Amino acid sequence: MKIKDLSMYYEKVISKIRKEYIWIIYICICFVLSRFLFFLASEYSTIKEFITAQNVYDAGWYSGMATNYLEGNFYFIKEGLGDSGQISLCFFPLYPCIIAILHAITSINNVYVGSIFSSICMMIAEFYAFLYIIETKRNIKIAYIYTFLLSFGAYTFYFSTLYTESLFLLLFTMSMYYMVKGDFIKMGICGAFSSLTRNVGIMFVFVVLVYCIQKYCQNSSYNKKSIKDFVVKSVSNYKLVFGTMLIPIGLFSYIFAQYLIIGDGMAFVHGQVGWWRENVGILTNFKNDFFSTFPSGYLSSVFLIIVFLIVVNIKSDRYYESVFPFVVIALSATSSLGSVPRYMMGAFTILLSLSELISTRSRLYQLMVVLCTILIGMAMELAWMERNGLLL
Amino acid sequence: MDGEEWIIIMKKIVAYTISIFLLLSYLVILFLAMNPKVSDEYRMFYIDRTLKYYIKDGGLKNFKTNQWFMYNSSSDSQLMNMGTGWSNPEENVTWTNGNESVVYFYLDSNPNGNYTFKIEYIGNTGYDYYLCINDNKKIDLKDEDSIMYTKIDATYLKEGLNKISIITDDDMLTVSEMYEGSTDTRKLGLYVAGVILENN
Repeated sequence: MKIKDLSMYYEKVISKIRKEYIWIIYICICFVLSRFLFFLASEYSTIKEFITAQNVYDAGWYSGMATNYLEGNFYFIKEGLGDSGQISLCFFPLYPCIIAILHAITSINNVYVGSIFSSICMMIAEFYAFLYIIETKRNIKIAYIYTFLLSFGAYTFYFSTLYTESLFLLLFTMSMYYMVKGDFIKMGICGAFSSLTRNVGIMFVFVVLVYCIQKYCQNSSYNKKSIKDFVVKSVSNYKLVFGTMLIPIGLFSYIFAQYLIIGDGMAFVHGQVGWWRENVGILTNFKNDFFSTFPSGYLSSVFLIIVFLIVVNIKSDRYYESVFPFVVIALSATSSLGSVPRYMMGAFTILLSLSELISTRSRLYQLMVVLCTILIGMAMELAWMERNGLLL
Repeated sequence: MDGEEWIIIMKKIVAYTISIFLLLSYLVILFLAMNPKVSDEYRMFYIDRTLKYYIKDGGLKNFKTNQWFMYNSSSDSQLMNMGTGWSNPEENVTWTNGNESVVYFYLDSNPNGNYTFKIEYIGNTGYDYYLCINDNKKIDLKDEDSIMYTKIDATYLKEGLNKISIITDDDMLTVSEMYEGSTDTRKLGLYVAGVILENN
């Protein structure tokens, strides 16, 4: 390499490091400020009390699973009248497994080590969001808005607690980034881990499918486009095929493990009976909640906003970014609208779509968004620590 | 072909081979998942959803004759032989919910002798009830001093698990239809303290 080329190369590297260095600082500032603000707003005087208060409901399950893994138990079942038959197999194992390992290494309590791990995952997810946004939208402002909304906004507490939200968001964001970079094997590895973190992780295969279709249709160098030609071109890309086939490994490994240990590979589905969940249908759930209060129920209102954002994505030709939120809604809203908002916060592209909309507005509008975000985030944080079931 | 081309070909072979292997594995695992090998207790609670409470493996055999099964919030969940059609236990009793409420009893051997089924209740919304044994035989219930009872012919029962359905064919009203302002959609019938299957 000539000296001039070397010099230009190093300049690019240093410029990239500086750029990413600024992103990392911004991400860390958002995290520290947001958590400090919520801590100040809470009634707790120590950080330990604050962290413990945030880790409620399912956090107990993940903590219990981590403890059981260290004791050599793959699962446990509750027997009381109130929670009869609730089985830990309904929760996917990767996250509690990591918590168990971290606890074994550090001897730090599950709750604290999990909160730290989740927070780190959230920040790395935000970094990958930056990379993804630069790669696809070439607009750094969207990334800054996205990070702000995630750190300060609605349901942000889930990303610093013993829940799978952070880890799943990280793996999903990484999968999206590697997919758009064409690095399909890394995409597959991240997808495999995400399908071991949550059952919906396997749905990423549909994101890949729609992405490939979209890229094929938009490729002007292909003269005669057809389904057959698309299939041949896709299948002949061995990295794409291999990477896509990797994605379901997580879920199917868990199914196989459940079959070996308890005799029921679908225990994570059948076990939902312990929480009295029934699939009554999206429309029924929506109608029941929408008309439950005046002007309308909270969950159904959020549902409408999410549908709006999905439609915005579709209208802007971002089809593959619409797939995952659509699938998550279709799967989770049939039994209940309850968890739809937090799943959407962890579905990356919905918040991304919102960030993009905000980035095109005036500074005054953006300032209003900043204030509303902080207020909503704080209100939800406090409501969560009061165990408000609407936020589940 | 040069070395680089051979490497790419080898990579393709490995990638496609593993992909096919993975696909076949997924199909096999899916087949196994569709055919669970589980205990009756597990299947009834988790898969068929015919048991109200989770019972440990082997626990169905605890649903014996000649012992009262009390339906209150202090009861041991492992001795709640309820199937479908029950509300949640309250302090002393449990409401039946809907037109059919199921209880189970386990007979260790072939049915022999005289059997009497009794329901101790403290309230009745006013519907007429009868029994159906193992989805087969219909038997009328007698009612005396807050005990509904009937004799069951041994031929109606079988060795192993027996299903006894407490049924009303009346048009049941929900609580919300009976009491203005209520949003309770349950169809409450009998306020049951306990059940027993006696074998004399």
